[in-house]
Amino acid sequence: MSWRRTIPPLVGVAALALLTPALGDFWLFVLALTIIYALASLSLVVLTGWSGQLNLHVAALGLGWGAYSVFALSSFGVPTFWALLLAGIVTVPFAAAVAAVAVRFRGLELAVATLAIGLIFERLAFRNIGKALSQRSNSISTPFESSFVPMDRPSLFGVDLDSDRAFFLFSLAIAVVLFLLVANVSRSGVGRTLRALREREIMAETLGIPVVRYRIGAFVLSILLAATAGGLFAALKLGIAPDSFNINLSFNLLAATVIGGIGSIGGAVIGGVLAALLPEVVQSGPLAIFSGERLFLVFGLGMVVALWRLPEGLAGIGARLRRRARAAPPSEAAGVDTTLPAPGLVPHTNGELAEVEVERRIYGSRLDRHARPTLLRTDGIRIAFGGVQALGGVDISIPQGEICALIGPNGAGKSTLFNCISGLLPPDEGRVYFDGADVTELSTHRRAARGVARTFQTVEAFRNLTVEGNLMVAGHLTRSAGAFAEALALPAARRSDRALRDRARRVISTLGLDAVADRRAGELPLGLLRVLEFGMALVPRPRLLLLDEPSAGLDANETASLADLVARARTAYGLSVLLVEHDMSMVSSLAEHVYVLDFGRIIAQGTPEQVRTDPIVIERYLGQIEGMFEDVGGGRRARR
Amino acid sequence: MVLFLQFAVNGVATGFVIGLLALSIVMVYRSTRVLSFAQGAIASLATYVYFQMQTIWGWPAIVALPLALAAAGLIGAGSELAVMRPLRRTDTLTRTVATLGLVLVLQVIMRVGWGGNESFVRPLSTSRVALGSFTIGVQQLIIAVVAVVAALALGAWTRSSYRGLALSAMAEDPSAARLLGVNPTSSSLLAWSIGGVLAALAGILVTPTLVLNPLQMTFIMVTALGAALLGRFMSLQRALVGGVLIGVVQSVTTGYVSISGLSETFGFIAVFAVLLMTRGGSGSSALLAKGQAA
Repeated sequence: MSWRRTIPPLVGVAALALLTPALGDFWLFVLALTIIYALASLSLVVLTGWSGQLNLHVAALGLGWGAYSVFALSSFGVPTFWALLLAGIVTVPFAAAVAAVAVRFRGLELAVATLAIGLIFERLAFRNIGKALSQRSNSISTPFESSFVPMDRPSLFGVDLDSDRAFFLFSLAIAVVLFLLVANVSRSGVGRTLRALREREIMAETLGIPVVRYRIGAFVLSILLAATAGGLFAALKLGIAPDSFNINLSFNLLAATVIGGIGSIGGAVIGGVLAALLPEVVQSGPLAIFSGERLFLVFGLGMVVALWRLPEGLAGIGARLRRRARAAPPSEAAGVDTTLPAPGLVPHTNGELAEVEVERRIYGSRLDRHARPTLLRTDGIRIAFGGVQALGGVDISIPQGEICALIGPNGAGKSTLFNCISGLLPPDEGRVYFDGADVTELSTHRRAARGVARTFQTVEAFRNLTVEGNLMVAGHLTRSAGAFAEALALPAARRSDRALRDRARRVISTLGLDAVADRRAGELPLGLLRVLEFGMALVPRPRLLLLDEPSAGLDANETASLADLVARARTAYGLSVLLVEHDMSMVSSLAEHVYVLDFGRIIAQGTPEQVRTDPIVIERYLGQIEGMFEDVGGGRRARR
Repeated sequence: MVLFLQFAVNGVATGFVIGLLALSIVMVYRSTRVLSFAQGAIASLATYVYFQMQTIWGWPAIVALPLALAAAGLIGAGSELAVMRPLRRTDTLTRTVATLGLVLVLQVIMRVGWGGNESFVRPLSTSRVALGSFTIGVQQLIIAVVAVVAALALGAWTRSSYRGLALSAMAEDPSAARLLGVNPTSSSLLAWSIGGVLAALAGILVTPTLVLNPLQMTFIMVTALGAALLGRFMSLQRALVGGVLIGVVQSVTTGYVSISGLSETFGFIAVFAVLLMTRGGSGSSALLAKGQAA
């Protein structure tokens, strides 16, 4: 826990608590509601702001669920205080079940799914649950057919929290605990990983991060927060009706959170203030034209404006001003591409790879190739997209420690084969063997855990994280602490994080990225991004490295230095490398064995010399390169 | 059997209304990749305009209807200009969230203009015609005919006219269409206007059989999302057919099963069922479906 950032908000909370004697019951009620809505906002921050998932009906799928859980428990005779606590426990399996369904959907589909499920809860489940339970317990008598169900406020160890003041302080205490917990998660490796996978799920998966598990975790935490808020809501209002959790409340909460800042914890506090306090403040006085339902106008327009001009919300204004104050003069800021040295692209004599001499072709001849144990083997891989056969039975094998190249014209199926080997694309037929085991059914992150790493043709580094942050996320597989230890900031997690940071620092200095270590990856020029991505692939200490056109977009010098790095990494780690490359100079300087892929089939293989002189290869592929692409080869850019 | 058929026939009209709203959602999504949650609110607002002219001022429907539809086109266009245009450089999820802001704003206009209470729109006709052993309301017949004509006209227009083809091109491959000179901003404006008119048709035709309030059409729109999903938000035909299908199943199911609240939530259950049907598993292959590393 970082005290410097935690103490100011805690002082604010203490001041608020000391202020309560001066406030009347009405304002205490409103402030308690503010706390409840802030918790609901926090639930949206965790889900949408961190993990990029939308819950369009948080009022039902969260608040309502918590409220009805508390009501159900107390109708079975559980005292309200214990019902509030138990409701949290009851909520976990529910949240996990919803999350398990929800993670099947992404983006817009998830938005539709949460909207539909939420409305089913609001208008069907809550109504019937409320009716059934209030008929059951005869102590509750409703004078007329109404879905309103009354609730008690809790008492704590004999102390009644009936008054608005006591209940406000009780809610405040719960909220402080939950906010501190979430702040911890945000700063921990879990928070970093969530923000990373929000941006690039596939990249996260290939780094060994179990994306689905993280998304479910975020969902459960999010619903837990909102459900706690819902339980407090029921107790505060002394009762609930299905309509308490209607769709407009969800939209308002979402809008308030977006305006407050959906990416930050401060944004959640502002969201709560906007959703609960603002409606009461504008009740009278000059702002009364915005009272009641007209406040929707402020929320609706405010959300659009925030999405347009203020993506970090009101909470981000301070940070934005600070950044602006600190920002360098424009000439310097604009000079990222030119004033930076080309670190990483010059040979280095220090760092992890230093002690190892550059040594090419350790295993020179093809005979040796078969003598060595095989690390990767594919057996008759077939993949078709619709009617188009992308791969028509591909067999390749890579011995341990070999650098092997895969060449062929565009559309030959090289990237498809990569996706198949790394587990992103299941083959229609055929098997993939890694280190003697059949890994065809294993997911991408499991293969990563076994030692398969890759880079992408389109650079996939996490643009919103710093260079150091990227390398730390890439170290996911080397962490020594579990996600729970990280979320709670246990000592083990701090040790693990420190080790991760050290390792990231070492890789940074090895690759010569020191000058840009604290820059966001999105600000780096392509050459450095390629180096960074290469470093990210090395951090988990893989055994097989798949490099997809590492030289694309690099000039001749940069390409040569990158080739040098690859060769040194191979020797340092005993790495096997499969390289897709169009740059034949890089291929012949690095590779010991070359496969030529054309129309989804291997048409030739052998040493670079053998392949280079193969008449079929020249006709189908190399001839084209020399004839047409020689001059533009260096100018080819990553597609994105 | 007669009862079953009667339920089914009742469902067809509701189904066409769902289908029209689904068409309006698909229209916007195809050309802009934005899932507009505001189509229901646009439908409601246009219906209020119609209600004002036809029910309060007593104008004949033949005058009020075209005017209300024109207003709906303007509301759609206005929404595009006010909300989508400034956000055109953001990702589609952001713009989709922004349509929720639009829902809130349009609701305020309705509540300020007509009060939040329920209003009743005078139907075009209250009579029923007998078809063999069951009957059907004339209003329902009108809904079916209008929906079919609108869908056919829309289909013909997107296949034959330059503007329609341009919209289809945007739907198929936005970047290729842009390279060929299709203007994405004017396409977006056009799509939102047409989407507004389609939504208004649905609202104006169906509210006489229901009540008019600011949120009513938004709930029907959620059901329409299910129909639109059947065509992956892209296919106009499937959206309309899907709407009719959902309408009929809804009418038959709620006719036979009585659980409190089921009739108004059946559509949401249908949406969820469609989601489960159209979506495969999670896992990495689903990741690639996003086309990131393919």
